[in-house]
Amino acid sequence: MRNTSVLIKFVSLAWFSIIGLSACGGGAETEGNQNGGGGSAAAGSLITTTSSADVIAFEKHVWQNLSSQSRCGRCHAADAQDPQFVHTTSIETAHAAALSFVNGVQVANLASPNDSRMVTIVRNGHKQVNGKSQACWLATDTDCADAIRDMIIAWNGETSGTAAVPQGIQLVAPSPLRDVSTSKSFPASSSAFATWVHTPLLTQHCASCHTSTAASPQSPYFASNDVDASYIAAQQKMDLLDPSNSRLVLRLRDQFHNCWTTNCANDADEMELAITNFANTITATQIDSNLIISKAMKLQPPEAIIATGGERHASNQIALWEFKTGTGNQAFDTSGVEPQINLSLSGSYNWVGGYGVSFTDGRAQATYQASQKLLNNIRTRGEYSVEAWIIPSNVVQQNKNIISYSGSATERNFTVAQNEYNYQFYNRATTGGVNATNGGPVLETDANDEDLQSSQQHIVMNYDPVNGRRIYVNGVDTGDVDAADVGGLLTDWNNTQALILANELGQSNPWQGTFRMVAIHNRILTDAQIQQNFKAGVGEKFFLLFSISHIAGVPADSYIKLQVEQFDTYSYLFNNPVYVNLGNPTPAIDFPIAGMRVGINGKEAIVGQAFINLGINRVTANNQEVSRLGSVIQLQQGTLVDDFFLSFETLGTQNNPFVVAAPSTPPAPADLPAQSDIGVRTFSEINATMSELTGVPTGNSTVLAKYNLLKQQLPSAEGLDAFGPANIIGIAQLAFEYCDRMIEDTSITGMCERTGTTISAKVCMFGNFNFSQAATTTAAFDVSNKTALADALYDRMIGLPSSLGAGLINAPTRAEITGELITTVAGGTYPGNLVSRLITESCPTELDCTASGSGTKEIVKAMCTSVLGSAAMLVQ
Amino acid sequence: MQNLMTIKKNDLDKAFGSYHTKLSFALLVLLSILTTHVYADARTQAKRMHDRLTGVAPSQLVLNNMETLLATGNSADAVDAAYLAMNNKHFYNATLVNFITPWTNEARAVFPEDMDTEGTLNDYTATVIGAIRDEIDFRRILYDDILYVGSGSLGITGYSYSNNDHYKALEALGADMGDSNVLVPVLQSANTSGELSPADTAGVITSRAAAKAFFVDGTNRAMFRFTVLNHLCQDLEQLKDVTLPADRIRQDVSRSPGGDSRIFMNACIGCHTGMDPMTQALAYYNYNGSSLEFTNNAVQPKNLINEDNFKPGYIVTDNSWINYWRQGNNSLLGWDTSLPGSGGGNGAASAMAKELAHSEQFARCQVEKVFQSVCLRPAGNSVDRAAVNSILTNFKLPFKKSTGYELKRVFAETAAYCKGP
Repeated sequence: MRNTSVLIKFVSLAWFSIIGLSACGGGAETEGNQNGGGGSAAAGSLITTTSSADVIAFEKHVWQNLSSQSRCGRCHAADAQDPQFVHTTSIETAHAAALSFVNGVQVANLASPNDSRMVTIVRNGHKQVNGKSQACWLATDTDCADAIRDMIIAWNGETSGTAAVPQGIQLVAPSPLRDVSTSKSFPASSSAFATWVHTPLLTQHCASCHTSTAASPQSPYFASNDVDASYIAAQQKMDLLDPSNSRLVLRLRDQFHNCWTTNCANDADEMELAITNFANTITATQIDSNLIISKAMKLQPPEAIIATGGERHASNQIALWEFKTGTGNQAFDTSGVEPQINLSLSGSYNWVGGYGVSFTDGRAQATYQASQKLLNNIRTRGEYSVEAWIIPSNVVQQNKNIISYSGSATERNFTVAQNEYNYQFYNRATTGGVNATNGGPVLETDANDEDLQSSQQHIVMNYDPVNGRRIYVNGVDTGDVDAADVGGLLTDWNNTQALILANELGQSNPWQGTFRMVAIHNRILTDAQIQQNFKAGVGEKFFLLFSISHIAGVPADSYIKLQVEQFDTYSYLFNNPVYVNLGNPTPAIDFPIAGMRVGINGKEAIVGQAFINLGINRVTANNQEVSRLGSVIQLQQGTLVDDFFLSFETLGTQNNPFVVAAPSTPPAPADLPAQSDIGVRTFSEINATMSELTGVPTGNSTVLAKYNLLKQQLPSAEGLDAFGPANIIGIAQLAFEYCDRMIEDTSITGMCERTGTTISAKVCMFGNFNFSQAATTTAAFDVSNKTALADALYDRMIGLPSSLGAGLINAPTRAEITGELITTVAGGTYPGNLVSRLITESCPTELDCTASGSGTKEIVKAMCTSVLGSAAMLVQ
Repeated sequence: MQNLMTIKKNDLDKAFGSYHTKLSFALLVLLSILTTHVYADARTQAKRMHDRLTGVAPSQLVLNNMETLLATGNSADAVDAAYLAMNNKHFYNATLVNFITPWTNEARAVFPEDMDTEGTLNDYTATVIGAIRDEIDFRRILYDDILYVGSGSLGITGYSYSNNDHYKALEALGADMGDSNVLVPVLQSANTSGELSPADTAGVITSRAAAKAFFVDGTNRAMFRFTVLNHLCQDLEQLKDVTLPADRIRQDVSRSPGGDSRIFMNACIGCHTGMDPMTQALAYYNYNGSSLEFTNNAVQPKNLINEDNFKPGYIVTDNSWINYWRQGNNSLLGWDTSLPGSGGGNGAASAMAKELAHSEQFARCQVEKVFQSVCLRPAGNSVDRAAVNSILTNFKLPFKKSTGYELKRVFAETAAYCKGP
């Protein structure tokens, strides 16, 4: 506990429940982590028969990992510098040193590992050489500090029977409180950036590494030839309000990072001046004086209080990648268990804000030698667990490897893969039969469950001989049962295989997605441990305490506490606002609150506000939850620069209702291109029309059967554009069926409008025409008869003349119709009308045109069909 | 044209053989001899009005009567002429069925995917047809305790909430649905086997056909989306508003799809801000494979799926709903200020549907749909738009009935407008 009056320790009830669950798990934790085969940092062991369980756990998790000469053993060993927590000969001495205090701070704080002196001193830079702590064996001091923190967590976890360490998160009032100030935002155009920063400096001095086309590409690619791409990548490296605080400047000035002259200070000054000149082209945003706002906060310690760390179960963790580096082409194994399985990144990948690496067509691959740590720690144990936080880019990828310990497309020790909505788990076990070498048979989640989603998911793949393989997604067993690998051993694992993420070894079979954390354990995680790790979340989370005490009507020492994290490269998550009072508990807290919004860089964020409608309208108690929801707010300039505040419509005695601007009246729509004024009848209309025109009911079994057959071949829309040959054929077939029934089926009767009597449909249409005449031009089709037939069809189906004889003026004329049906074209070599052609060409062969034959009926049907199926019927 | 006809003739040869080809070839010739545009007379206008309204050619008598009315040049007479045409059963059995069927399936097709087994007619289409025929306030189709079924006198199998046999039989019968002795109104709540109380009904939204199409699986957002699409003529893309409160967006909506929150911030959020709090009114409904099920005061599990996609997202605990579109750009949809704009508890679905149905955009949408159906094109210029506005104004006024919102009048006035020059 820190010596301050404003510290409050938060230990969640949830955590206590986790302890309970883990404690019930029995002695699994006490067996310890058999890391020896994998090679810890120190040789030998100092454990004696009298060593206590706590000393044994310390020795295993901390001393073994830190006592080498290349790490803390160089200075903090026996007869060397205090505290001697890696004492060379006495583990009890080392243990006592680790629990001692230096300047009031405990060297290893089991209750709050992240506050341990051995963590904080490395995190802040301990005896730095080349910008990094001398004893730090990883890429950055942050990586080493996290690794040491995890060692302490594991130590405590083993001793206490649980790996969960309550992070006593101590809320410290931010000091000094800052007012929300003016701010600058990056303009949409990259031109000023190009003029001042990109062209003169970045492309000149950084392009040999920070471009995707460099021989050894180092992201971010802010020196790309594509100035727009470069601009996006560089935005998080520049502080427009304080250019000297820009990462581009600090890397040169403080860390001497690839200076282009022999004087890094001068190079840093040059970079700072360039950014200053660029920033001077941007007008600052003034805060709206009417807003009711909190004090300002940044997502950077010390203002931001780290809210995570220590909650994961990690006792048997043998490899861990947290992807915190954020730059370069290596992802470091920060498990603290030697040897590190560092991953080389290649192909198409990007570091993700808030920790992570995304792949579109790339891989992260270890050497097979380093990968042997997995085999050495797992094979004899016969069980393991692969744990990860991932974000699949999509749910259409088929059989893509996510995490694989394999040698080729046909040989593997294990593989976690994606197949659309399913997770797949391959495991090489002695029970695998003919497919064992390739990890088969695969265990795959049920497709109907759609367990894999294109969102951030926590996955755990467990294997042990008792239960075989089990797959957990977001803390829950998917229930997919392994029928193959129960009772299997891992003795056939191959030690020449390599760990690879997002691909298959030697293959181009890339998985698309993001890794935010990967861990491998040499024991299975229990259900409770999986829940625990799922609830611990991923990425770095902070608490921001937004002071609101300056608002009239709000008690002193009042804050709105939000859990905040960089959600991904493009946004922040502001989660679960809670009212806290860090002073003496106020006996009577009672003030109104409404319409809370998150502000960034002097303005309320436009998109993503989830606290506008709060579940409460008054704050009446300390630690009162204001909302359980989360707001995702767009990232602007990155965590170093973005400055946040909260605004309120009502707070204390202040009110400032949010006014939603009235939308402007939209302009009149543009005129459409000239459109057709006509269209075609659609399927049912055609059917109904043919029924009306012939008198044959739509329910007639013959035509109904034909209609049902042809229905989807008829036009389904009125537009002429979609009308095609298939429609024509369908119409012709249906028209023929109606005409056929009208002429053949004399039982079809009904009220005939022409006569005013109930008669057959045939007679209604053709009167007393004698169908038993020979089909010749001197009998059935003499001029008089065929004219009468054509007129009947024209009057009923085309022209619809009134009693005065005037037909529809936009329909084909009577002459046009008779010309097609019955009028011979003089002088032609080919009769131009339908009746003549049929008599001439079909009567001798296809039709019986005698008086007793069917030729006459067929020819009339043809006349009827031609008219009924014509455009005059079709077009409306 | 010659080449096209040659191609068609070859097709016909394959299909029919030479005899039929000869007659069909003549048909093609006839297809090509439509006269070019001429100014129509009253008879021709009457023919077009009849065609557009009923889909079929008129009888001589009807055509003569319509011609007489149109010859006066009086707009009211033109409307009366349209009403004459709409006495034809095919206005109901063909035109309206085709008009409504696309609202009843996700593909918005006139040939629904399950047409072969379920037929085309269903309780959704029949109810809307009945509402138009009886000239009731058309807005009621979305929220009232309303259902149209075939009369018991028809001797067909009775209405069932678990299959469509009743409407298949009615469709096969071909009976005139314009006849009030054929299609009769009943209370929906009295025909759902006790599943829905009167307050739980919401017009066609709680019809079996709509449930089968839009309450099946998923998250019930489909019901809301397609209701808005079909009855406000707005797809969610048009209603996107990223500035609205995000507090009611459920947990299943990833805030960083594929690890890229820009997709959420620029796209997803725009629809879900408005859609999710409205859809919540449907939280107790689900299609169980044969009928609609309603679990009063118990949220259907489908509203809570994929909760780990975004834990700090909204959790549906009841059927309370709110219309965030009353502010911002979508306030232009013309919400009814006499309604509260939010609700919950008994009748929540109906109240939310009423919120939609009483909007200005609902009425406009109906007019625009009818315009497309009758004029065979959308309103394309200022003259058309003025006509739509005029018809819209009249739509809201009492005409044959005292309530107003009689869609039959919209058909009549639109047919009069598009009768031709």
